[in-house]
Amino acid sequence: MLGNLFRNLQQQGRQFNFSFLQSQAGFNIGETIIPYETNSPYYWAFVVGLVNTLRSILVGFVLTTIVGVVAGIASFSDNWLLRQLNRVYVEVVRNTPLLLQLFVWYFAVFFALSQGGQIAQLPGSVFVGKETGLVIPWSSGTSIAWISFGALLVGAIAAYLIWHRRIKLMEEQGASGQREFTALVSLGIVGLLLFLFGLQWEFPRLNDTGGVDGGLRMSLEYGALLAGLSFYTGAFIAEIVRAGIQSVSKGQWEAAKALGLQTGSSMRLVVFPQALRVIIPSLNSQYMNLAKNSSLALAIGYPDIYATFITTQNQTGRAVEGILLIALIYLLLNLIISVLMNIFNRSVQFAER
Amino acid sequence: MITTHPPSSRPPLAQLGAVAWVRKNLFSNWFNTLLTLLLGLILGRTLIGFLTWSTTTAKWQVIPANLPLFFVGRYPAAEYWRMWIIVGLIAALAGLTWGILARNAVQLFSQSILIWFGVAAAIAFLSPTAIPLRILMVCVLVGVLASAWVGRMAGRRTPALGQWLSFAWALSFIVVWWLIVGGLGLPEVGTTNWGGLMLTLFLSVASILICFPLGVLLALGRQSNLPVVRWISIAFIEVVRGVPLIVILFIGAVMVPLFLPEGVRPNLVLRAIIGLTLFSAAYLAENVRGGLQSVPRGQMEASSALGLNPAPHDNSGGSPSSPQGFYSSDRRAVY
Repeated sequence: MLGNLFRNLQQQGRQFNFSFLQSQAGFNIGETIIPYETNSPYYWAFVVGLVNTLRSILVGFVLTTIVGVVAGIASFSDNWLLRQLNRVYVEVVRNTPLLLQLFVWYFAVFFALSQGGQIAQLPGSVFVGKETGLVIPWSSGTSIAWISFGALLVGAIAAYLIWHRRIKLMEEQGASGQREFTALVSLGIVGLLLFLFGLQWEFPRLNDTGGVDGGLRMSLEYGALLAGLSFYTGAFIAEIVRAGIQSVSKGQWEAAKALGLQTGSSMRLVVFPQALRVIIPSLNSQYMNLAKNSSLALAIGYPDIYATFITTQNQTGRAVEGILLIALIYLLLNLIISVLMNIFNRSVQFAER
Repeated sequence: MITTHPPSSRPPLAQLGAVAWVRKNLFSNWFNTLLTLLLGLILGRTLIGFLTWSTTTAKWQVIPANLPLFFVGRYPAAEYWRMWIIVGLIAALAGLTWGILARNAVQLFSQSILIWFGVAAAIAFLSPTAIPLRILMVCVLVGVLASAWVGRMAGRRTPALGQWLSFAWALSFIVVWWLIVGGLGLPEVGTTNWGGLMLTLFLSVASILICFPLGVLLALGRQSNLPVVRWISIAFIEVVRGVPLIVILFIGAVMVPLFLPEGVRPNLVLRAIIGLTLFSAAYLAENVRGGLQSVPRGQMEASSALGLNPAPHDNSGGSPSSPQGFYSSDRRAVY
């Protein structure tokens, strides 16, 4: 087979090597966050594509976890309407292809909102426009905002340490923990104030020329990809979370209730930590699926690494080298995700003696 | 003696009726009330927006105009009758299978089944197509019911018919293939003219069928004691599971011709089937492995104690662990 490959390649006048990566790419990439020019080499185009892929999957992980956990817990809600809506969401999303959903988000949601080149304003000062893209409120990025962000981080670490110390003192010395509790509350208040005012939120607003000023701007393609990936994977995560919570025996709920815990507290303190042992391993494969599915970005024109590869392949005809590179990158990505999730998994499993 | 019964009063509405249900399920506390109102608002606005769009700006006539495109792509219109024969064949076979398998059921057509068939017939009859096509679709539905009845009668008379069902389905696959592709007296239709739902179903049925033996083989290979077989299986499964489907399809479409000797150029549909099969085989292999591993070790030991092919270099293929393993893994494979 390899012999066939080399003979076929030779016949088309191509040698198997990677030197094409050094030559000029000559195509444009729609959106970049690291500098890229039309005359940059191919390998740099691949790096730009990889950064775009990473940008979509890293943010996607955060969003899909939030969507999935909220939807999974919502299936246990007392509220009938919420339960039914949640069911409809999970079933519809799980039973339609992701490609279709990406088209729906891109054309039916984002493009329909900005029909006729207008800029639509959604509740919460979010703007959608064909040229402006998706604009959301964001920190203005001044030095004060950065200092507040650093202070928030330090505060979060301090709060975590104090919380641990409080539990330790309460367990070992039977202390009331009142002093630490006061410290935590005051830290929380300071944090909230910093979050609200220190970060200097900038709300986008329409300017006179018909554009949008301020806020965080992203392209419609990126927004649609992110929404599609997060809601698609979120539906699967919701089912995993539901299964995990159901796998915790009923006696745990009853024991928590007997100790006088409210429903919310028993979910947070007793049931959910145990459910995590079931949830994490399956979550791992969902994250890997999200990373792999991000390659469908090609369909809505988001320049991720697979789209870059297709353009390169069309220009140079280097299918074999390119696909090797792409496959290796995706394998590496999934390997990294898997290793990180396994480390996380080990930390939530039972400490068996 | 006359006894007067006190008039029995209806149960209080606030404890049993609809009001109580609403109060319990939608407004049980302030948080639920807020949630219900918020969700109702969002739901209402979305519904109103969709209804106004669908009655004013939407152009629904593109769907009936392109209906053939959705279903069969650019398949030549003169050959549509072949598609109808396929639909009829599958309907008749499905009805027969249903009837034969359910021959001992007390009632073949329960009320809910009849209601579903009625709804399907109504949809078929109200669909925006030509009148003969609507009648044809209703006929297909009636055909399913009729052949189910025939199957039940035949199944009661000769219960051995059940064993022939899988053979009939295998035969029907060949007949369907012949009807789609053509040849042997029928005009041939090239794969470039295939499309729509027909192509989707064809691709999925073909790759599901082929991926089963391949997946089982890979799973057994992964458990093998021969290091070369084991490592090749592991490498294949992990690589395929680690890259996106779109990459596998690209390999099938562009790379497969490069790996084949000169002059051999499989057509596009075949290449897509190869890609899909390799992809789903790797996933199936992991399901089968899970099933095999769920069988306790003792079963293997018991089987070798009974003298059943305990050869250490052989994998578990011939031992009782595989029927048990497959039982638990085929339920997983459905997903």
